[in-house]
Amino acid sequence: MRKTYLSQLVKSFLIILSLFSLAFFYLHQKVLCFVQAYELTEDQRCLFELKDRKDYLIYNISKETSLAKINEWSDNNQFVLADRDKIVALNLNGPKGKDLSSENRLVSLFNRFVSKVPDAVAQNRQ
Amino acid sequence: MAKSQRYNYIFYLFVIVFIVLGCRIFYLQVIRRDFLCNRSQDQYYRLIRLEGSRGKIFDRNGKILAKGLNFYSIFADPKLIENLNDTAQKLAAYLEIPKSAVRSKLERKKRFVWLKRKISLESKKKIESFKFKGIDFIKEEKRVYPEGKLASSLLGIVNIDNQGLEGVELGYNQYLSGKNGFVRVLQDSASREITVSTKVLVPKKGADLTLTIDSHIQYWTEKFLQETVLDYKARAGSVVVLKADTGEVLALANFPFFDPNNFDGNSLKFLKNNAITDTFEPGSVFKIVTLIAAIEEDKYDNEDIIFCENGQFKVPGTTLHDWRPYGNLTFEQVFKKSSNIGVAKIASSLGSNILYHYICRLGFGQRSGIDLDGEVSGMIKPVSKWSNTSPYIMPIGQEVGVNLVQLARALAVVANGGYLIEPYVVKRINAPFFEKENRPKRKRIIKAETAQRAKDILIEVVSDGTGKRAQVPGVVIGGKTGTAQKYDTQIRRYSPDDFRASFIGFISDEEMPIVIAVSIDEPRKHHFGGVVAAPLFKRIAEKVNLYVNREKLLNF
Repeated sequence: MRKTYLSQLVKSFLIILSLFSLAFFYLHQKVLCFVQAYELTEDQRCLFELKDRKDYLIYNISKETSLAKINEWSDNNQFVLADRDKIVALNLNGPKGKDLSSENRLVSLFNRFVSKVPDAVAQNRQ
Repeated sequence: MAKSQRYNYIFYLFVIVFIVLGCRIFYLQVIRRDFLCNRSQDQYYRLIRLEGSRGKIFDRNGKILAKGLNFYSIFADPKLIENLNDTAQKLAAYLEIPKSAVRSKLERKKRFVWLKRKISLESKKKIESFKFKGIDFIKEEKRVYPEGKLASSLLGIVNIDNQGLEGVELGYNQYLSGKNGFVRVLQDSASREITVSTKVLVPKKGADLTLTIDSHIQYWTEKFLQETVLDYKARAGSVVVLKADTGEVLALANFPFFDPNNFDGNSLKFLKNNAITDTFEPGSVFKIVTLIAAIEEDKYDNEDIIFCENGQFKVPGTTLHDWRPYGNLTFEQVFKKSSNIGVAKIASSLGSNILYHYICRLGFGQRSGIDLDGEVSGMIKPVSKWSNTSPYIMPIGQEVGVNLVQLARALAVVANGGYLIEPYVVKRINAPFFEKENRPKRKRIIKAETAQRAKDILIEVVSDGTGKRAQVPGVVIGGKTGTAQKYDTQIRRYSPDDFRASFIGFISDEEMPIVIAVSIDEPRKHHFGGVVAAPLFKRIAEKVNLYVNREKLLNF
C-alpha cells in the first residue's frame, strides 16, 4: 500500500512537473517573441532616425548648393562657363617638346565636343 | 458545542465567502468584461498617428523647391511633472523660450500641452537624455524650402499644421496635403513600444507638383529685379516671364521678397504676389490695344499720317500732352515715339464700342485664369459708364486697371501669332495612383497677319523708338514702354512724384517666343519706363536668350 501511494505521488509530481515545464517553455517562447519584437522596434526606430538624419544632410547640402550660393560663388570667383566662342587650350606638348595634338585623340575629341571648332584652332603651348 | 458543529459553521462560513468571491468574479469577468478589457488595453495599447507627408514641389527641371523634413514636437502632461522648477529651467534653455512661458504651460490643469512645435532631432535627443517624466515627443513634418527666397511669393507658405496659406501651397493644398493614418502599438509599463500591431490605417502621401518655373530664369529675374528696385529706391517691382505659345510661366518675381524658411510677422507684408494682386494704371503699354484694334479693323496702313497737334491736344474734360511735341507722324511712328495724341486720335476714330471690344478680347477686365489664388480681374468700365474723356485717355492707359499677368498675356497674342493663352504655373500633378498634366489652352482672337504687323511695329519701338534701352545684340526684341502717373487718393488727383515704370516685351523666336513684362512701382531718380524698366527687361532677356539657346545646343 505504501508502494502504491508512493508511485501515485511520483506520477502526480511528474504530471505537475511536465505541465509546469510545458507552460514555462510556452511562456519563455512568448517572452522571447516580445523581446525580439522590442529589439526590432528599436532597430526600426534607429532606421527612421538615420533616414531623418540623411534627409537633414541632403537638405543642408541642397541649401549650401542652392542657386543663390552657387551664383554668389561664381560672381566672387569670376567663373565663366565655356561657350562656343571660347576655346579650350591644353598643354599639348609633352616634356620633350613633342607636339602631341595629332596623337592625343581624347584631347581633340574633347575640344571638338566643347568648342565645335577644328583641331587646328586648339592652341599648342610650349 | 460539539466539534462537528464548529466544523460545520466554519465550513458554511467558507462556503459563503467563496460564494461572495465567486459572485464578484462573475461580476468582473462576465458582466464587466468588456469595460475592463478596454481599460486594460488602453494601458498597454496606444494609437499613434502616422502623418501623411505633404507632396513635394519641383521646378520644370526636377529641382526641389519645397519638401518636408521630419522634426519633433514636444508636449507635456502637467499632471506627471516632477520637480517643476528644474524641468522648466532645463527645457527653457534647450527650447530657447522664456522660463516663465514654459512654467506657465506646465502649471496648467490639462493632460496635454504643447511646449514647442517642430524642434530639431539634436534638441530632442538632448531633452530626452534628461528623462523628464511627463515630457514626450511627436514626430511631425516641417515644410522646408531648400532654395530659400527663390520664388517665395509664388510658392507661398504653410502654417504650423502644414496647410497652405498663400501661393501654390494654398491653391493646390488639396493635392499637396497627405491624409493621416493610425497604427496600434503595444507598449510596456514604461511606455516603450514593444511591437506594432497589424491593425494599421495606412497614411496617404500628398501629390507632388511640377511647376512650369525654371529655377535658373527665376533666379536671374529676381536678382536683376532686386538690383533695379534698390538702384532706383523704388517701393516694389514685379516681373513675369512666360512662353507666349503655351502660357507656361517660366518666372514670376516680386520684390521685396521673403525667406519662407524664416517667416515671421515682419514678412507678412511681402507675402502678396503683386504680379497678380496689384491693379495699376498701365500707361503707354496699354497702347498695344489700340495698335492691335487698328490693324485688325484694317483702318490704317503703316504710312498713314496722323497729325499730333504739336504736343497739345484739347479733348473733352482735359488736354492731352506728348512727352515731345510732334507734328505729322505715320501710323507706325505714333507707336514708335509713343505719342499720346496720335494714339488717342486713332482710338477715337475706331469708336468706343470697338475699342472696348478689343480691350475685353485681349483679356483685360477679367482674370487671366492663372492657377494661383488671389488674382484680381482689374478694372475696365463698360462703355455705358464712360465719360466724354474716357475714349481719349483709356487708350493711353488711364482710367483702366490691369495686373501684370494680364499685360504679359495681351502681348503674348502678338508674339505667338494671334492666340490668347491661359497662363499657368503648375505643369503636372503626380500622386501614387493619379497623374494630371495641365495642357496649354489657347484660342485665336486676331488674324496672324495682324499679329505680324503689330510685331513688326513693336520691334521698331525697340530698335528705333522709346524702347532702345531694351535692345539685346543679336536678338530680335519687340516691346512697349510705359510711364504712368499714380493717382493719389488723398489729394484726389494724379501725383506729380509717384509713377509706375513698365516695359512689356518679347523675344521673337519661331520655336519659343518669350514674353517678359516688367513693372517698377514708384522709382526715384528716374521714372520713365524706357529708362527704368527697359534696361531690366534687357538684362533678363539677355540671360533668358543665352540660357534657352544653350539648352537647345545641349539637347542637340
